[in-house]
Amino acid sequence: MNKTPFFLVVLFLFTISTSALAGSSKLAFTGVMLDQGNNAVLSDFTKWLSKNADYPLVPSYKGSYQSVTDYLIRHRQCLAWTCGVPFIQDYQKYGQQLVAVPLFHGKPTYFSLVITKKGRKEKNILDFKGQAFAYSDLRSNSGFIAPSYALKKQGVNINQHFRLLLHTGLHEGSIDAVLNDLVDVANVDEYILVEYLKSHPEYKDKLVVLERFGPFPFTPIVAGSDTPPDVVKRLQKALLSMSEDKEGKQILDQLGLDGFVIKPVSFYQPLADMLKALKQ
Amino acid sequence: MLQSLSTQVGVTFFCVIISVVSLMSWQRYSEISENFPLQVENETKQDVRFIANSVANLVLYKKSYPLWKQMQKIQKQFNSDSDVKITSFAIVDENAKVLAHSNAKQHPLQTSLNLGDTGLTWQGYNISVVAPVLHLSSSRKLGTIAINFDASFIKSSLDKTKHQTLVYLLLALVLSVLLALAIRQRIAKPLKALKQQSLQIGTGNFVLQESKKQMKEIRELGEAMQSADLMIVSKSQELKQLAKVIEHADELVIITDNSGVIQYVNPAFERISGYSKKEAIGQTSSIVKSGEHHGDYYARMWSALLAGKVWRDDFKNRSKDGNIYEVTQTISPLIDEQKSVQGFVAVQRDVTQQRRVEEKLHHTDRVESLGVLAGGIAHDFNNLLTAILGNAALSLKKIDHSSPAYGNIESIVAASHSAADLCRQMLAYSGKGKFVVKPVNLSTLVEGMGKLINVSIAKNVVMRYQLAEPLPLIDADVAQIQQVLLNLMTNASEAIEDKSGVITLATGAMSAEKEYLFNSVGEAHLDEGRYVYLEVSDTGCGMDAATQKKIFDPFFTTKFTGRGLGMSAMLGIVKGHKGALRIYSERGQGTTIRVLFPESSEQQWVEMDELLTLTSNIDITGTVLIVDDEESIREVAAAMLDDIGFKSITAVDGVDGVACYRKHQSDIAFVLLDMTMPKMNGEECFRQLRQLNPNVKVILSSGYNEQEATSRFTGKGLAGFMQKPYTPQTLVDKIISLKLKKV
Repeated sequence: MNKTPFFLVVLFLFTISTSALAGSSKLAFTGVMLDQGNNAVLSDFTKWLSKNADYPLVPSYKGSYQSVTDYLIRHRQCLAWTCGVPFIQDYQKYGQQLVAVPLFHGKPTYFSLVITKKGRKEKNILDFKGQAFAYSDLRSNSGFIAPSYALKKQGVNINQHFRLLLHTGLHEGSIDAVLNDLVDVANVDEYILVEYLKSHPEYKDKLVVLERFGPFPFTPIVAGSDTPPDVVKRLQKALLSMSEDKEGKQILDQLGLDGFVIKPVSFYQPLADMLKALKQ
Repeated sequence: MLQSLSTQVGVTFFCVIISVVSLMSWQRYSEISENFPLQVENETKQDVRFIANSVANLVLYKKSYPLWKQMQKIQKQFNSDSDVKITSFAIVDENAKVLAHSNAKQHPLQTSLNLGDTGLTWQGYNISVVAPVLHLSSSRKLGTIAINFDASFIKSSLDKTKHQTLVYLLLALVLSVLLALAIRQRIAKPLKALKQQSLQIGTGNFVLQESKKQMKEIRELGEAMQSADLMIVSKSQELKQLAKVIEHADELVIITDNSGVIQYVNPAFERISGYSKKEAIGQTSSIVKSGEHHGDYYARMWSALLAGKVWRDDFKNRSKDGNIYEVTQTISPLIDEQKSVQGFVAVQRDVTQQRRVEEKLHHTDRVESLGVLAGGIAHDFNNLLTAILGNAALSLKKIDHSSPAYGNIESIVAASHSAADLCRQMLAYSGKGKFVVKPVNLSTLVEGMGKLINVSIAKNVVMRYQLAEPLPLIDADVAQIQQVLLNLMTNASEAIEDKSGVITLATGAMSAEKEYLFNSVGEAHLDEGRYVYLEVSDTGCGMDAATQKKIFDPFFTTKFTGRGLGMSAMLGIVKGHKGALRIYSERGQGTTIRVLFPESSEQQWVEMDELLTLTSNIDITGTVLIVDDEESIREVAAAMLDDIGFKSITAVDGVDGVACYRKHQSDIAFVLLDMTMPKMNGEECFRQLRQLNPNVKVILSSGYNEQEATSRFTGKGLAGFMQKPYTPQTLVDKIISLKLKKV
């Protein structure tokens, strides 16, 4: 089973524009992922969802969570697979709708992991004071918000704690930066790291997870504010039954997920609380 | 091998090709080794500029990770596409802070790093290019990029090029060798064929094989060789003719270089000098130098020759066996076109034999002159002795033994006999002393003289005889042969003197060739053939060469009491018998004298003495015509005839004799005819008498010997010969012999 593309789907969204509904729809992915255009699994996922929800979708790839936000603001009938932090922020500001939450290891949650190269003397993120830190996106929960919050709780400002904060655009980049000594430490999505090491088992012995922050609500599939409720319902229905569909199950296996669940927006309240705490 | 033209051409071609290819290869390699790094340098500069532009925006926004990732991609892609490999990179911002580095651990992001001045540097086969990263639109410097390249492929490429060049060189070498061989073959083949044909040059059989494929030069060479063949044949024929002339010439031909070193001699030279060509060539002409000519002579000769003049003169050379041979020669210098003397050619004619003959003739003339003189004296003296002896003999008959004059007359008779002996020796010397010639066995004659020989030699001498039997007969006068033998024995005995010695007397037969006879003492021209010899050897004092030359001269003697006529008389006798003498003698080593007589054609004879004994009582009567110009002879002859019962008529010369015979022909029993007379000599007189009476009996009487006197009457019916001086008894004996013939 080719797992190469799985770790790429951490942050993406796919939108369905009005024009798409008129028959020229396309799915745009974005997020801090590399090689988005080549991610066949995301295309398959888009096709399967479009077909089973009876909603025309094409993949569309974006460079950052902010781009996803901007896109859903301009295309309010599109969908996105985004991070919990941008969702909760955009839900409050722009009325984004929560469609479904993936199940990872049977749970709709995941952890933010502090990783470094094996053999270092540091034991936790605090020990990396004055060193270089890699993150995927400023709005990434696992990449930046969670470690910021963890340090904040210990009275440390992440912007002052590290000599260098290296923006990598995606979790894979952060792992890459650690492995290649660009940085000393990074925080990455648990799901991404698991999928990454599935496809790069040679790095298992080179990386070490120092700390886990969480669990946090998993990255959700959201819809623009103008997405019709029946569409949302068809989408939810399709996603909920995806693990039972042979093709859907196959795609889920490729994605490393177990299925989808429907959760209320409040499921993401811990993130809102965390953001609030950081602002204080 | 390099002497071969074809090989030289092949090797030259090979050398040229290989040199050119080597030069070109070296030039190409040099160019590549110089230009290739420059090319790589320029390419890497361009690459770096291109990379700098491609990452300019990332540098502008200081996006370190994308920048590093981009550089990783670039490095990966570049290294997969290019021979030059990116080994490391570094990008710093305008503040020299690291934005990306291939070795982030050593150069962490945002740390200061000085990349150095912009430009390109080499370290071995590593290239470091430092270039600014410029804003794409404003060209503002955003940072600096440094990339290190591994250009070791240059070395491997140059090595590869070197190896390729070597392979090309090797191929060129092989190809050159093949081409050189082909060219060599191309040249060698026709040349070999031509060489094979060239063997016919000079034979006239050179046939030019023409072919359209033949190279022009080869064809022309062939034509030239054909012309040469014809010319050589023509010239060689001329040369052969000339060579044949020289080879067969009796004249000696010697060619030397200008130093006198012999280059050529002809067979005549080999034959006469005794030196073979092989021995002579390479030697100087002094190998035949006789030493007979003074140094000044040679100086004059060489001076003339070196001046280019021809030298003609008689010359004495010495042959290999040490003998001198005389030549009359012409030496001509061989002068080349530059008028310098290149050598000499000597043409010599062997005149040794001629000189000997001349000398011999000279000697013979001298001897014969003396002989004529001696013969004339002896003839006249014999006439006188005839009268003296005849009258004395008659007187003894007429007077009583008791007469006081009887003893005196006997002394006259004895002295007359001694005088007759002397005359006989003189005649013998002159070669005119042979009287009674008949077939004689020399061994028998020697045996018969045993007592006489023993008396004639000294007592201290031992005689040894080596007499051959059977021995062929010779025509000889026994008395003269006895005289010869006694002469030889006496001389041999006297040569031994009073010491002990041996005389060996030998006879034998042999074949004598002309050359052998010529080199003997005697007549100049004797016929070669079978000869019987009498040889006397002694162990005495011997003779030197000078003495040997003179012993036959009249009156030459080494004895205190000798008259010097013995050997000259002996030579006369030998000559008279058509014989020859050879002398082998050295001072202190004894002498051997061999006397040769030709074999007689008549090898059986009857002893006349036996016949004489059978006819003792014969009637002696009649008239005898005495024809002699000497009155004393006529008188004494008449007295002798009268004394024995004959009547006689005398005539004063031949004319008178013929007239008397015509007048008294019927009464005349025989004619006693003198040989030498005025008006008409005995020969003519005899002829006319024969005309008057073919059966006329004529006894020839002469002071010369029988051989000399009767030689002109051979086969003409001469009844007999009587040597002057004769005694009455001699006359009786001759008349008896005539009577016997009549019976």
